[in-house]
Amino acid sequence: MKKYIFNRLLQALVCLLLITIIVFGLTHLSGDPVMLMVTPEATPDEIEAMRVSLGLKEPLYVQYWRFISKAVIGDFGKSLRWNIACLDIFMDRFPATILLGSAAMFFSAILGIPIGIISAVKNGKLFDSIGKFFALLGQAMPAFWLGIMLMMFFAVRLRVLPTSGMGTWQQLVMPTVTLGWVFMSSLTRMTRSAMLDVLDSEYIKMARTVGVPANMVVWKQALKNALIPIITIGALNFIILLNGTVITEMVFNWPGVGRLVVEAIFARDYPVVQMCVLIASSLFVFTNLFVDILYAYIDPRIRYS
Amino acid sequence: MTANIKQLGLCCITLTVLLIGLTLLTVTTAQAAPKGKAVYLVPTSFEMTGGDPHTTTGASGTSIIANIHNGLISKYVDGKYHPGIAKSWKIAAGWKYMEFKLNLKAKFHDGTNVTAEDVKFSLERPPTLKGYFAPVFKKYIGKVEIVSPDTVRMHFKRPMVSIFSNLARYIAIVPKHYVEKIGDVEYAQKPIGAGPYKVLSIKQDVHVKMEAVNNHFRKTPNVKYMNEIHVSESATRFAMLKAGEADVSWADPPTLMSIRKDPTLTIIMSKFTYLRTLAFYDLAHPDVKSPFHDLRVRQAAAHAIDTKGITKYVMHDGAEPYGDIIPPYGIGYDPSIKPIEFDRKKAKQLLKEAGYPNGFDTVIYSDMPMKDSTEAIAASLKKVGIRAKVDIPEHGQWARMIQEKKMKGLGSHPGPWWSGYNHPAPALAQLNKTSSWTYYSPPEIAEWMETLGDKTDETELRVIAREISKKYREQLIRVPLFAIHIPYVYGPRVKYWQNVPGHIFSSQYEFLELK
Repeated sequence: MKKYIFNRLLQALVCLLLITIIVFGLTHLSGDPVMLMVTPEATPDEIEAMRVSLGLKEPLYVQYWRFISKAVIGDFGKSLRWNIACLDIFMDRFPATILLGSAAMFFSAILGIPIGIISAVKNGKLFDSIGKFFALLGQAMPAFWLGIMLMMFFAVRLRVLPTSGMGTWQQLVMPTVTLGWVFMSSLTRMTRSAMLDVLDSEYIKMARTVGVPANMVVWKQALKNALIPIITIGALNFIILLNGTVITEMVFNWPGVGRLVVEAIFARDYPVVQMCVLIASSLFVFTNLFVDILYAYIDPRIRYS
Repeated sequence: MTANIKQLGLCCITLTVLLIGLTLLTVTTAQAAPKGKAVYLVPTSFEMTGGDPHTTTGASGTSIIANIHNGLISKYVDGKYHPGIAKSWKIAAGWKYMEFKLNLKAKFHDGTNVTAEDVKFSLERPPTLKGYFAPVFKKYIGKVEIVSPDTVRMHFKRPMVSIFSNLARYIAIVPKHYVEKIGDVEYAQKPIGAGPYKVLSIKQDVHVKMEAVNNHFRKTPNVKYMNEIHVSESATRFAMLKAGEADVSWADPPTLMSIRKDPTLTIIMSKFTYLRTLAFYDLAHPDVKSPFHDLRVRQAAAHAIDTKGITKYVMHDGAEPYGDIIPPYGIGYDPSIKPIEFDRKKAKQLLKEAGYPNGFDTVIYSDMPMKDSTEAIAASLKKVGIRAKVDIPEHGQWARMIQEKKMKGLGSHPGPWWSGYNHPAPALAQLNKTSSWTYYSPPEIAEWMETLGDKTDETELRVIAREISKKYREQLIRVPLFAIHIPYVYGPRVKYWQNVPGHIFSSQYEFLELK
């Protein structure tokens, strides 16, 4: 088991290292921040001077080494634009993303799981068809379109919710629905499929045969066993939610990490982009690692293979 | 007894007059006092580097400098320079120095007076910071001396004809005691200025909340509270305006069609912010064989572009065809110069005469914001046989390619005039040899530009500016295409709003009036 964990940890670290190289390379290939920071009157000499002062004239491998050696101790450098520590900027934005991600997760779970269960129980009937239709709709509708449509209807036409921003519970409603909708769909489908498997198993048939009430069979015995894949998907979904709030945050002007990344990319603020991507990928890699270890713990066949 | 009654009567009359006078005074004062709240949407974010006027940039930066802070000079919506912290100013012969007489009534938001020490500190500070304008300041501004408590003299290293614009837009006066006490980084988060609005709260990239300063020494604002919100999505800004959550906003040209359909919204253009030209990059590479070295080919390209159609249908009237390289507010402007005529037949004829009856292949570069209009330009050119492949590099890459002169063929290129400068030297800075955005400037024009820098006589300036314009247009160094307007939209609660002419980003919120 120890060897297995060590191997997986090593793989995760190599993966992260590769990610840093790719992100570093791509951000530096994407453009020149200095040209966006100088006046139209600036001469080539002045532009060069600014490049030197920002450390952008050094060879890429020197810049990369400086970045990675500091990043391992949590120092991601200063934002080129704001001249303050990148981590401070991230920490200022992260709570907003956590709030939105959690609300969206809650929304998708509170609707997705019951719909999935009922769809499985009513397999092939009208409710199942409606449930499947909603699941399909959720996965097919792009978040930017859904967000703008919700905004136009509830904020502009009905004027019952504010269009955007953060601060009140009303401002959380539409971003939550926009972000949570797609995950609600995947949870619905996953729950339905897991429940169908469990409902078809022998012990459930036995429970029904011996006269256990239908509700008890579904909500207690079947759901308990179907929850394992749902929780796994849910946990991974949550990380995807945290990393995937970009569009929702842009549309609803939500001051979270997603919006920060987009704006940092536009401003070619390398340190901020690198830090955000590194943190996001670390979250993903380590969640996967945790899930892998958990699987190995539950099922010994995994570590032996 | 009669005398007493008379005295009493006189007293009563005096009291009544006094009361009426006091009432009138109160009413007048109450009318002048700022009231109401307004929400202003700025389109860009990740630009505002806090509230320090010497380092902040971009849309929100512009409004911070103009509203929270005050310069020695202020530029108003009438397009003219007005006294700011300086009551008056003069430039010494030969651009040796500029002397300012200070308005001793000016105060910072903490109640302290603006002193000559603060002015000296503020004029010397920008070059010491990693700010947008540090290189420019280092180049032009020398020592600053305090002549007397109300007089400050700023020495020039070389003539700086853009000084008025810079004093109004970038060199705001900051409180020395406060900045030194809390440091530059903290100051950017908790700024105190001498502008008509004081900061209530700043959240980087999210909002700037401001409150009007009562009895401001320059102009007391009409609106008491201003909330400037950063919203980068144009659809969201439009929704906020329609829902009545915002009062004024920058609008992107593609949303103008929808905005025009809403009778409660009013579009107002910040006109003539900059010129867009068709650049012939090959002129900078005389040794490389190119059709564009032939004037007739350049003329053909100029006649091939349907600027009227592009500005109307592609840019949604967010621009207008323009024929000169001098802006309407610039010295040397000649209203008789019209946009180059759109004439495909003539274009084809010129190409034929130049030896290209079947046209030729080339490339046209642009940056992402002008992608649509560049594609339309390429389509226009194709119709006469100039088959230009559209290449849109990432913005920073594009800017670097211009600086390093790595482009060939054509380009939809910004400038040469921009952003409200009326003196031709800063307005046409792109014609200097040294500017990073020049790409190509013929030697004779570059020489003229060097002589412009220290001239202040309008008549002389006008003559030179016209000569430069004539030469530029005759040689077709670039084809003037469109003057870019920046559309702003305001909602039904707004009575008056206007931007400073030629300015891209909005400022001077003190003139905003609500109904």
